[in-house]
Amino acid sequence: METVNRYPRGYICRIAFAPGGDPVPEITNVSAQPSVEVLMKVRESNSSRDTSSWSFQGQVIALAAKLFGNFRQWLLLQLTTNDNIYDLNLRFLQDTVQFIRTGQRLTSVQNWLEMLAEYPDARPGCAGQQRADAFDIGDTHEFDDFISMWCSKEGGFEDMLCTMNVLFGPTKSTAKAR
Amino acid sequence: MELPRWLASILPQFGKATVLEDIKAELKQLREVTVPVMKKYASMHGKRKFKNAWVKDIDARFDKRLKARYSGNFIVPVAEAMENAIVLLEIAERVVGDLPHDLVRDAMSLRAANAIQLIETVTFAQKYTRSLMLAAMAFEESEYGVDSADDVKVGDLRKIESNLDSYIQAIDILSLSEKEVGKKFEELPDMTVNRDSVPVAESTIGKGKTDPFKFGFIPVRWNPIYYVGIMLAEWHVQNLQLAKDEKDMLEFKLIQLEEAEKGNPDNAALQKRVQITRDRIERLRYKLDQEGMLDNGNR
Repeated sequence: METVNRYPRGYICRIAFAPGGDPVPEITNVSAQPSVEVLMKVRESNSSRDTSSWSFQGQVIALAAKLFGNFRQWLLLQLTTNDNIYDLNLRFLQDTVQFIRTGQRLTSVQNWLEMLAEYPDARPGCAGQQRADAFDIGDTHEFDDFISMWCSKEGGFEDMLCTMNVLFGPTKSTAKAR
Repeated sequence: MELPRWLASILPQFGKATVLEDIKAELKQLREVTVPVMKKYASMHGKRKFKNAWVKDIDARFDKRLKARYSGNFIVPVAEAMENAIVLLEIAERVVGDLPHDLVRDAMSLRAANAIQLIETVTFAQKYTRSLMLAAMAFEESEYGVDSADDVKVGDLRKIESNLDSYIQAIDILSLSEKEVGKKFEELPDMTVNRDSVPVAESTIGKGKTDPFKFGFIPVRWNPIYYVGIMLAEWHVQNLQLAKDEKDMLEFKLIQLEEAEKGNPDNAALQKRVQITRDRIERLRYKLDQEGMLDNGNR
């Protein structure tokens, strides 16, 4: 059976694939992706030596490759199947795609984190192909090298890590309580 | 401010290093805060047909009074002027860097006087730009059902309206090309003036030649560094913090207007962020006002 994790701000991530595909995946609500939490703690410890080391950066890149897998497929999963993503939580995805493409964001990831809904209820029927069309992601190869596209932008590595924290990290109250 | 009055009002003496530090701080604020956010505004709303009457009136006044040509609404020339201000400040930096010594009020070279007034024009225009855009977006989004009544204080609105003509003049100055500004500095006679000698100098070199940028038409002064002895570093830190908070607020406004246009004017999380940021801006503005560190053009 295909297994999907849902994180606090409603974003989902496939963690096991069913052979041949399963139309009804099993969705598990989880509090956070543990490695994202660990890497954010290292970042928040404000040790520039730690965060500029290849060891740290390599872990972040490996985690991005693992969590997103094929970035376009991951994005399509949110847009076409995830009824818990809408309003600003959907707009954040659009802003992230814009950052990967242009290096420009509407506002900082930190500001988005403060604004996004946590544990959003499902709005049945809001996900669908029309949302994917609005994202203009028809080019199937555009995001083949999404990590290098992302990290090559000014502040891109930091943006990628903080974006993973928004997508797969804990609630704000959990993060603040640490 | 006219040159004799300006010379009468500045500190008797200030260091060249102080002016260079001021330029560096203005450049940092332009590069990190004002230019990025204005580029977003111009790309998203530069061709917008405004619905709100107050914003329409601002747009019409730009159309009527601004000499610099542009296509789109008033957001476009403002964004372009802010970006151009970086190049113009770099010219001012070279002019000040070439001065042989610190600056003395009673023997001020015309180049130094014009360079400092150019810096002040940038300070004024940066601050005013963010206030104007915050007010314009608050009014505009109110047309789409957003409750933004608290986002513009009466006092802020009064300052915006009473200084609009000076601001448009400042935008015209900051729209001058690098070549034009360089030429104006080069053509300034190599002479020193004081408050009493300006008319004599003008009778020799020609009327208006001491003020080729027409700073005299901007009657306010905006940078207390040159008028009162304040802690330079603290002034810059506080102003940069205020600028960053205003940038966040402008970004929230972009999102709020976009959501309102989609028929979603009441996003609670977004309104909360707007409120928190607005309170922070008000506190910081109040603090700077109390400490005499924020000149609002009321002197």
